[in-house]
Amino acid sequence: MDIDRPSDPQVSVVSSDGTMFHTTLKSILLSGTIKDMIEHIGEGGVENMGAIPLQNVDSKTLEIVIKWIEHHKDNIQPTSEEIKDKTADFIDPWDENFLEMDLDKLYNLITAANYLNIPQLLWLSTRKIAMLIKNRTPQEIRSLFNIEDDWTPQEIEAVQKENQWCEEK
Amino acid sequence: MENLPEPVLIDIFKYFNAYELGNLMKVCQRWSQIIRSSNHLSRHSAILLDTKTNGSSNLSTPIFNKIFNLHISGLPDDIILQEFMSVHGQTLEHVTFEKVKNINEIKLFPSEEIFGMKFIDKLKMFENVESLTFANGSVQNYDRDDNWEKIEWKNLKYLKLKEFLCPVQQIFGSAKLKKLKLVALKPSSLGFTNDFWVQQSQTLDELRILKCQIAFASILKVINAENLQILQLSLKIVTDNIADLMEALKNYKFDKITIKGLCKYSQSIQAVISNNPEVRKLKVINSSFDFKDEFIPHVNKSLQNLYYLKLPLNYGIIPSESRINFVNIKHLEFEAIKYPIHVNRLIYILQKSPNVKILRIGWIGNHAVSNDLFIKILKNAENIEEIQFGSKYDSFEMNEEIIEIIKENSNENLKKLTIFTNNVEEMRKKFRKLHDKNLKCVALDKNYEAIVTDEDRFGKFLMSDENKILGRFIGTCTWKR
Repeated sequence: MDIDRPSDPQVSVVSSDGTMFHTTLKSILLSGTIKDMIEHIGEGGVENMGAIPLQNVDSKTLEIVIKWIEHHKDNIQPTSEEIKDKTADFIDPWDENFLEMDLDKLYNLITAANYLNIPQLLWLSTRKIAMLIKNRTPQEIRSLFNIEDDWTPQEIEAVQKENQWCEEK
Repeated sequence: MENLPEPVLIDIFKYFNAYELGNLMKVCQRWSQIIRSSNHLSRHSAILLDTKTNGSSNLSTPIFNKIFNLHISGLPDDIILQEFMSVHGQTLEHVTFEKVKNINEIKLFPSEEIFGMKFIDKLKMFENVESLTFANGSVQNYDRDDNWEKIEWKNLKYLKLKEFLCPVQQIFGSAKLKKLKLVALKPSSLGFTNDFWVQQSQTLDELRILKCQIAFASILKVINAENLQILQLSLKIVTDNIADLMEALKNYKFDKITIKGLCKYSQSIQAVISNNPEVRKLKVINSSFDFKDEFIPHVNKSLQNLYYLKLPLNYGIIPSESRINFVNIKHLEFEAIKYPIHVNRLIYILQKSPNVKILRIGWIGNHAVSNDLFIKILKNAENIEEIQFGSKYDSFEMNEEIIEIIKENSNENLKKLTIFTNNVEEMRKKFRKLHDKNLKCVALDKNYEAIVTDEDRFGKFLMSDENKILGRFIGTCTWKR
């Protein structure tokens, strides 16, 4: 073993708007996307590989992602396959607090978690959105997420007719 | 939200049942299109066709383009069924009937002349399905229809029949089943010939026959024992000569055995165990029989490779001279523990099972004194990584003191604590006190809210408990003519 080599080397990543962040290899490996990149470089090259550019993640979001992966770097993370159909589980209170953010940030976080392939973070954030949607009417959901109502009156009538059974429950 | 990729939106939508998804479809066209065309969501949401109540006159496809999973309550009338099946007959995979016995009350099936198709003709519409369950309630008036035409089942692999009164062999004889479960059938439906079992044994890998008045020995002699992976027999009302049955079972070698509901054949169980030294998983559950004192030593002596052991309430006292050593057991489960009489036995088995990683105790007879039990467990099982208290049948309301005990516990190996409770939210609040421990805490209600695995939900669709499948994912769909 190379005693001069740190057990968890530093890695740098650069956001789409050019901000550089430093974190540890162990943390960044929670991202499947970056893990794939690093595996192609080979372990010996990690220290010399330079900053990893992340074109699809802005600095504000990347900062949030790094906070999450650093907190969870020592936890065993489920794979995408394991998490695929998971709908409920105990949520770590730290994660619950972490996800208390406005919708724009949450939306960006989901996009980033999806791009970076961090299954547990994606699961937590999509679950959060699902909980926000629960028990709301379509109109409330549109307002909440600023979604345009693109149904014509005829189309919405047809959909409502088709799903009449939902309302008759 | 509008720009989220489709897979991410599906990840969000998977939290909603079919009823809720119908509502989400109204949000915007994109959501509607994604939900409608998602086979993933459709496979995960059983559509309930409730024929007991009057519902919508619209029989066009609700929610999904393709429906894979249909739950029918009552027996639907002809027009509803024909229209539904004309759209979904080709893709439907899993069908569950329940409460069919109410057909007389809803006057849909008492007379074919007046009310249309015979039961067998209705059933024929499902000839493409992969799994079929008659969950509860029986098909009555079958005697009006003694001419059971054979149905050519094309894909049927999983069949579960509970309280089904019609003759099984005549109706399902052409199927090549992988899994068959028969529960509480009357002799009228159990008139099997050897041909049936010869054919089924070519494909059958799971056979479960529970609470049926049937002679097993003759069946077991015919079935190809090599193919069968799981055999579950309930012998409460067995008509066999027990010696014949034991002789027939000698051909069967298993790596896991589940013994359920046996009440009078302890010696026979021991004989089966002796005959299967390769068994790695042994479950003895729901047994009212008081096992002989030599039961545990016998299991230990016979099953050296055992890694999973589940014991019923009365598994016998372990004689003090026994030198048991369950060195390979990783997963130890007790159906129930009565405090204090079983505690010493439990602790003794724990001490003799030094590599246990998972300990589950289904029911604890006296919650008030469970603190002491918990302390003893922690003390005697330092390698344990996962503890579960309670089961879907018995909740365990863990008190504050146990939370404190866990908080103080310095054993770093314990990684997961699962509690079945009547009040999930309350338990989660208690768990929050453990937030600084490296311990995953899971509070579950009896519907298994948090532990529905793929396999439970789909792979073993028929063989798992209905609650697991339906508790969360069903939508209610009512129909009106």
